[in-house]
Amino acid sequence: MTLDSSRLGEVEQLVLLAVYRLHGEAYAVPIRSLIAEAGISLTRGSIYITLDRLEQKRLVSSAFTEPTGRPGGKARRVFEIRPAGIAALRSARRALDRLAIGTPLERKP
Amino acid sequence: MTRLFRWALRVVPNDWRDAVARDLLEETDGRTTTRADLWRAAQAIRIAIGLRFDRRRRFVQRVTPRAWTFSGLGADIRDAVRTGRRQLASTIAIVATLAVGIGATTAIYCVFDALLFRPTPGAADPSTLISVEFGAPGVRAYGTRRAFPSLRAAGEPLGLQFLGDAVDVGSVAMRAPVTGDSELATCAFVSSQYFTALGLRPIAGRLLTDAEADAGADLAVISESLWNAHFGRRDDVVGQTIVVNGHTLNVVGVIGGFDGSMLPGNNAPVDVWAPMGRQDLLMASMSDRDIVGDLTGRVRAGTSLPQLQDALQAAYRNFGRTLPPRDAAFMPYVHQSSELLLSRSRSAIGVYRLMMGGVLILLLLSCANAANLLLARTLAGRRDVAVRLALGASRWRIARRHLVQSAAIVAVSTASGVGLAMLLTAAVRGLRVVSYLPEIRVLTVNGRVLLSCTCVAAAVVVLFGVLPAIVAARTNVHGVLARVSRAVSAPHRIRESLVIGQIALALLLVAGAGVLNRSLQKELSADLGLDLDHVLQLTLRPDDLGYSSGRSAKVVQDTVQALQQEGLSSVASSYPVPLWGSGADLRIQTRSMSQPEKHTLATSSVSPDFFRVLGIPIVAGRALSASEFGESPSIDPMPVVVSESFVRAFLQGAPPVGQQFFIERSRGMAMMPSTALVVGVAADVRASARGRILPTVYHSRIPDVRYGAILIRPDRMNAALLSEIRGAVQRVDPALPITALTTLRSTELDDLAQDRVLARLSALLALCALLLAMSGVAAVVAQVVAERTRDFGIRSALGASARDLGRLVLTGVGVRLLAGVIVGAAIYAYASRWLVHRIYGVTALDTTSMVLTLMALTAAGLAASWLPARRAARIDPVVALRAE
Repeated sequence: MTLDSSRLGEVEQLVLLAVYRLHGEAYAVPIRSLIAEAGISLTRGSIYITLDRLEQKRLVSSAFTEPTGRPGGKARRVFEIRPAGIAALRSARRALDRLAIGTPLERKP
Repeated sequence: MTRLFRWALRVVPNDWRDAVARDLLEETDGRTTTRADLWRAAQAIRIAIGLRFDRRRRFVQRVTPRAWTFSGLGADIRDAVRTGRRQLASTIAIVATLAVGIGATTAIYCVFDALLFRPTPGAADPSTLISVEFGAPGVRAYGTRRAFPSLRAAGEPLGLQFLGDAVDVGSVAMRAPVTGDSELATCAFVSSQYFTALGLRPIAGRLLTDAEADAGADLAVISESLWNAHFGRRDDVVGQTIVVNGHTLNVVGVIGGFDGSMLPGNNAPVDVWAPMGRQDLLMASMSDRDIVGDLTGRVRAGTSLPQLQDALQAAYRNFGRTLPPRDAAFMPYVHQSSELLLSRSRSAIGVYRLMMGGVLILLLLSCANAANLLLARTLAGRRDVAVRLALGASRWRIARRHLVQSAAIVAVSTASGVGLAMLLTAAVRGLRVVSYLPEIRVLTVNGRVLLSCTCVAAAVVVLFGVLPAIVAARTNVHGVLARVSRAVSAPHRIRESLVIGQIALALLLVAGAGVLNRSLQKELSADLGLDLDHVLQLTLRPDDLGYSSGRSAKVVQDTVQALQQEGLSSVASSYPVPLWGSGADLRIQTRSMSQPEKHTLATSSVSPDFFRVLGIPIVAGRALSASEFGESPSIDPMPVVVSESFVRAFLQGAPPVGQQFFIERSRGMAMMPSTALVVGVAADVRASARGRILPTVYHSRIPDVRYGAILIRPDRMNAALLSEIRGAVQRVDPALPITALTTLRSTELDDLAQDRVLARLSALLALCALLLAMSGVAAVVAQVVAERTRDFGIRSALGASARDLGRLVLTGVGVRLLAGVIVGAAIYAYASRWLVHRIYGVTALDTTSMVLTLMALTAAGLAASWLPARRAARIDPVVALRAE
């Protein structure tokens, strides 16, 4: 079984959306906070695992910021969604909409 | 960040470590309470476990088998070759380092192979070869050759195919075909079925047939070395003649590759194989030629040796009704041939074990050294690795690339090591001391040795090649590309551990060599009670020419007189030879004993000048006189000189001179009682430093001369002396060859052969270890100086002198040396127990050896670091800072 970058799991969709919304400021702490505001609690480990997976699928890219000025300060790893990630989100959204046609969950235009 | 949190973060993958630390600190607002720290550490561990497990699962899911195993392997191999060519100097250094370790290990394994797996070189299919030993449980004795037909008939239905015998009689006088000079040769007499049992094939001509062997034709088979030395390896050797002990034998064939090492007590390759039926003519001195010790046989595969043994014993028991009761008591016992030879070599197995231990330490040292050099190369190329990782290379691919490089280096090193092993085994084969290890005459690098070499090479790859691969795969991409210094802290610790390990291993070998050499020095300088350096020992064997014992004794005495007429005033005779070292259980009865008691004594028949020639002082009474020498054995009492230890043991309570005692003497096979009269007491002597002092009785009744010698103390040692001695022997009997002409010191050196081999080899290993450790220290110090160039430049700019910088470098070397010495000393203190049984006069923790070891290591470390320290001292701060 190989990893199919176009198919997203539920957690991957949530994290990818959070990265998209945080645009340039997306790292583990605010991503988790944002998802929690949406009513879903994820463990810290699942956030990191999902970010790692998404990066391996090349749906997001990461960069290290400069270390903080105080002694012992660490670099922050911030994530940015890539075009392939946006396309994957759209694809996942369309798949959900098509499946929901004819059900009470169908979205009205 | 507290230590607990730092330890917890070590579990997090490298590329997430900083980010996770940052995020967890942010979530806890950087609080430094214990609770916050515990929480952060717990979260870090949970995150790390999740990441690692998930990555592993994805890794297995992601790649296909083909891509995982072989895709890109060709590119890695080409890259390894290119890298090797580009960094030729370091590649050669690594290859040379590993070749030394692999070569030494392979050479020693060749010795093991010859000893354990090829105990019958030249013989076909050793697995079905057997030896039949005569004796009683726990006692080796003899049997009779007359029982052969009965034994063969009884064994045949149970799988016995052939049964034969060969007797190694030692030295015979052989007239060299070309020069006509008499010289020594080793001769063995073979019975029917001996060659057949071994499955030997001649390399020229043919072997003796069964009929020729038993009937005693005037034929002989010679060895390949004799063929080369005396017949120029000519094809027309068949039909040529050799003269052995005055009798002419026709050469029928040549044996190659088989040297008679199966024969008990054999210490020299057999030169001449003659028929057993000719033994009575050629070896008149041998008293009972029907006696056999060990027989050689061959059985069919699957033969039950216990059943065969029972059948042979039943047959011998039946035959034994015709034998004297004592001879009939010794039964035949069947053994696998290899077991018997192994038991004979047990005394040498301890030497092999020590040698193997030493070369394995050297191999570890060379692996550590090579690992350090390769690690340095890996660290130098870490930027390249970081770029590859950043461009999408997987860490497995990076690790595989480095493993392939290591494997390529090991392959070249193994080939070089095998070549080195062949050179080393060729050198060992030629050593005189090798004669004490009979199987080592045939040393080859065969398939088994190559297989072991391959296993060693694979272990080397694991030992030293995996480390750089792991270091490369764990490269912190961000840290390296952003030039963060802590990105290489882990490899630095590995590097320091390796160099400390090298120093510790070098200490093991240097200290061991020091102790072994000091022990040898003590043995060589031990006072044995006689003069070893100024006395020549001339060994003659007139009985080998078929002379009777009376005629043999006369020849020896005539030779003594002839030597005295040559102007050599100090000449004596002794039977047995000095340094013989063994005694016999004899019955004696002194004044204080109510009945005869059996004690272990040494007895020697000596001429009057014996004590003067050997420098043994007479502490009471006198030496034996010329008139007492050669008296008839029937005259009682027999005048004797006894040793001080004999007086202490048996003659206390009264002055020893003038006392009489009963002693059982041996002459041939008959024990003849004598009353001995003490005329003098001589100082104690012993055969070796480790040998015990035996109570000794010196008498003047001449026994069989076979194991005796003429002793000469010349006024001067020069080439003319040897001519005079040879001339004197020739005038007495032109046919008599000189068996040996050596100093007593060289006889002692022969006895110390194993200790000398160990001392020499250990010194060689220690030297290699020192050189390897030196190169390891030099490489590490050079790396440190290169990495700290900026630091040294700043220090120099701030006013540090060249001496300060040099001292800084040397202090670092001193710390590493100290750490290595502490670790090495701890290991040596435990491992030295294996040396205890091999040393004399010193302890395993001998102070002088330990001090010399420390001095050697310190000198080596300082010598290795001198150049880098000098380079550090000369750093130009401007150049150093500009280069950054």
